[in-house]
Amino acid sequence: MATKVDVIGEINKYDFRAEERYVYRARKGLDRDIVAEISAIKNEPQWMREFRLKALEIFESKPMPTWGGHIDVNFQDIYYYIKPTERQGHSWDELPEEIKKTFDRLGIPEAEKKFLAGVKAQYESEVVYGSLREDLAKRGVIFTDMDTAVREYPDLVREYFGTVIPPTDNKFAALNSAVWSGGSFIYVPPGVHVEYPLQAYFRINAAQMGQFERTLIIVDEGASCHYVEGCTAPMYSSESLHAAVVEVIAKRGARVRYTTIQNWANNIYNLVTKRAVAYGEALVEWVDGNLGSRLTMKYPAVYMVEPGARAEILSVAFAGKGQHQDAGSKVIHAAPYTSSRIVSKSISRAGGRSSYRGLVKIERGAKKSKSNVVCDALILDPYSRSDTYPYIELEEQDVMIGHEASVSKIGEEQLFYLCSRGLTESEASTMIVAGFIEPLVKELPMEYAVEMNRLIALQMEGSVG
Amino acid sequence: MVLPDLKQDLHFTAEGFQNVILPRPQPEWSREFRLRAFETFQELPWPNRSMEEWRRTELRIFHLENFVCWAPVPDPLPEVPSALAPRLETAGRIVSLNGRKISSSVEEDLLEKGLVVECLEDSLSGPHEELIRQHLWSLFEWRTDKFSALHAAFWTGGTFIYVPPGLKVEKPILHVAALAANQADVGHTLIVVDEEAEATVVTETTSLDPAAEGLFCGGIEIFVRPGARLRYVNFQNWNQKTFHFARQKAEVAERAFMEWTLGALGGRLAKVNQEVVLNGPESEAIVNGVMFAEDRQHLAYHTRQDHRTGQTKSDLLYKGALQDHAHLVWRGMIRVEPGAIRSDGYQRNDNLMLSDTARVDCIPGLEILADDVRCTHGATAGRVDEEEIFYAQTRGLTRREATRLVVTGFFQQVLDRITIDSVREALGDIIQQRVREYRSRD
Repeated sequence: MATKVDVIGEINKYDFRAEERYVYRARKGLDRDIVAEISAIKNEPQWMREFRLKALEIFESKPMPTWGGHIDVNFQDIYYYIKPTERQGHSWDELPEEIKKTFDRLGIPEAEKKFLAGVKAQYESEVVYGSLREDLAKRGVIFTDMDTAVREYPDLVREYFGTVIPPTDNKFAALNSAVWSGGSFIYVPPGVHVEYPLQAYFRINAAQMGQFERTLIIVDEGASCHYVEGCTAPMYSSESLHAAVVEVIAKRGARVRYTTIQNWANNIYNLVTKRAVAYGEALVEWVDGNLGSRLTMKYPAVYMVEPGARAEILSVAFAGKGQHQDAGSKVIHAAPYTSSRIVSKSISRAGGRSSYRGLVKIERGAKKSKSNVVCDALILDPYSRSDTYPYIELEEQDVMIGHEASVSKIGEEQLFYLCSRGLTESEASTMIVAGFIEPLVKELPMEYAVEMNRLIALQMEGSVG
Repeated sequence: MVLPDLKQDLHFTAEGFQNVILPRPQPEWSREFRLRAFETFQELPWPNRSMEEWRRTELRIFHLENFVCWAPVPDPLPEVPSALAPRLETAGRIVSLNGRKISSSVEEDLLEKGLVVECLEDSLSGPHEELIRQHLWSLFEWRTDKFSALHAAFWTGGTFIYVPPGLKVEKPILHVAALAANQADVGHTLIVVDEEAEATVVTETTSLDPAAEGLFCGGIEIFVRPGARLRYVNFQNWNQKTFHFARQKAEVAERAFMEWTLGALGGRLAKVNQEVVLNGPESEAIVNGVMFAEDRQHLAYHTRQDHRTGQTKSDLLYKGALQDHAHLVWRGMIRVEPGAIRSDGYQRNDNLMLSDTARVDCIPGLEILADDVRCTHGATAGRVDEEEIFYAQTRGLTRREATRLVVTGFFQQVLDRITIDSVREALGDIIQQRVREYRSRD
């Protein structure tokens, strides 16, 4: 049952919110009661409640994945639902020096800084983005959090929810389906073009970066939008497991771009299922940057189900000390004249391990399909590791498929050249790494690109070629 | 020389192991090893598609009980068909039937210089016992799955080739392995090319009956010692009813060189693990694969290039063409161990699809645990370019001739890397014969 808790005494390295207040906190552990309770707290309709309970059964019946990284999580030792009240209570000055330094170095605006650090419960979105939201509403664009969407747009949600990633897809998608909370819901009506990136910050009064976020984006025929989620600032959480689900539906002729930069704290298992369905002539782009976390397993996917659909996936992974980035992408060509392009860049340093794991599948009948995959990896020291596991499955002859991958270290000649121009070895390395990830950075909105470059510099600190 | 004949039929069962395998004359260490392997064989489950390694391979059509090694060597000996034997001038030959030697010969002067081309089982207790004991099973990972354990427990006959230090054998050594109807070959091949020696070894597999089922469950272990050079050709040309399960592994020592060419043409279902271990500075391996599958053939080749030390080089090129309902799987891995700096690894796989109904899975892979390396892989797949066919037709070629030309051109890149003329020509000819008229759907 729900309990009223005023003070949580649990403090660890990242939990600097010593005196958070919660209205509800479900007890630790996972069973039917907890799931039913989450549903009840949220006042959900019957179908969602049944969906959650069914998903729980699926979660329990599925074995842990035996591939990818090593996952050491006790599912009964996790709070699956916490409803926050006002999350403020302490000042900027109370934050650990290291974190403040990180924010300063990243050059994050004061307002965002406080939100990201958990000083403020909400980013002051009303003030900053109010006019934008008004404009969206006028054109029929729905942009809200998922919990609200279930209540206010039940028909729309019910039609699409769980259709791209059913709970049976994998163990962590099932877990998310059972206990999801928060995340974004976007609907763009036919023919509407949203010119500016929609950012998670726009939303108000929602549990923001939940552990079990659920995002659903529907872009109707001929419409377009760009959604930006996450941030380059380190995200702190006392819980060790994050299992999000992102579903994207791009109808005929639609264009969707989904940009994520995630920089989790080093104790986090980040296990995300992201998948898009692209209908005729639609274009889906995933831009995905993964930094931090202990283990990330994330493979953004695009199912091209009608002729002419396109997919572009751009990903960058940076694995530092004690980190394993097992990231990649999946493209399924299920219709003729579909095309996909995947560019993956990974960097390993200080004993980190980055793996590219991807799938290109051409189904029978998907003739004239084209796919090109390029994976480049950079290893910065002898203790780090880089893997590439691309899977290519073809059931159709009339296609063009190419895959390339290479692994190398920073070239001595490049370093030497830069050093001869007066840079230190560390500065030179940083510059080379920045050049290496340039294809991703240039796709980011300006402020993210700047932050990303600073972040790489921060990660590179103290590393020598 | 005594033929290593079996006393009675060998079934792959506990009785077969007790009554046929254990009583065979062999040193005690071999008997003990077989007992352990047999125990493992019984413990392990049959591979199934929930195992990543076997996910793409359907084993339901395979039934071990359908196969037997029969006791008598037929008299008179049957004619053994071979694509390579008539073309090669050899330094030594060995012919086996169902894994057991039926004839062998080595040029007189090479025999005197210590070249050995013999049945492995016969050699177990001969003058090379210690050498064999040191090497046998040291590369073959017999605990991996039920097939590898089966091979380790039940192997009979086999081939042993030893090239003593410094000996340079110019002409190829040919091993022809033949299989009769419904028979099994569980032979093991051990090749040791000693320091600074040089040799060329060609293995060809062939079926006596083009339409009868057969089973090959074998292993190959190859040692290229410091400074030695080996060119090895493995020409798998069974009929299209044969089940082929093989683990092949070579260890290339410092300053040694190996060129390994693999032809994969036959077999109803083939599952092969080909591994090359670069185990010393300045060792180098070139791996060539030529695969052609048709009808309902399923050919799965898993390759691995293992860079154990630094300053090593490996270069793999696999090319596959497939028609009808064939299914090709190539899965490759370049592994660079920690500290193996200045390793240079390359792998490439190209596929040409000649029908709408064929299927190919290619899975290149890299696992790099050192920083100062250069490792690259590439994979492509596509079909015959309709414009090329059209162009050839305007020059007076039939559609079929044009297709052959395109396929030949596709394989030329890998055939050019084969340095043994007769092998290169034989492979090219066989592929040409098999290409049917190519017809695209639109």
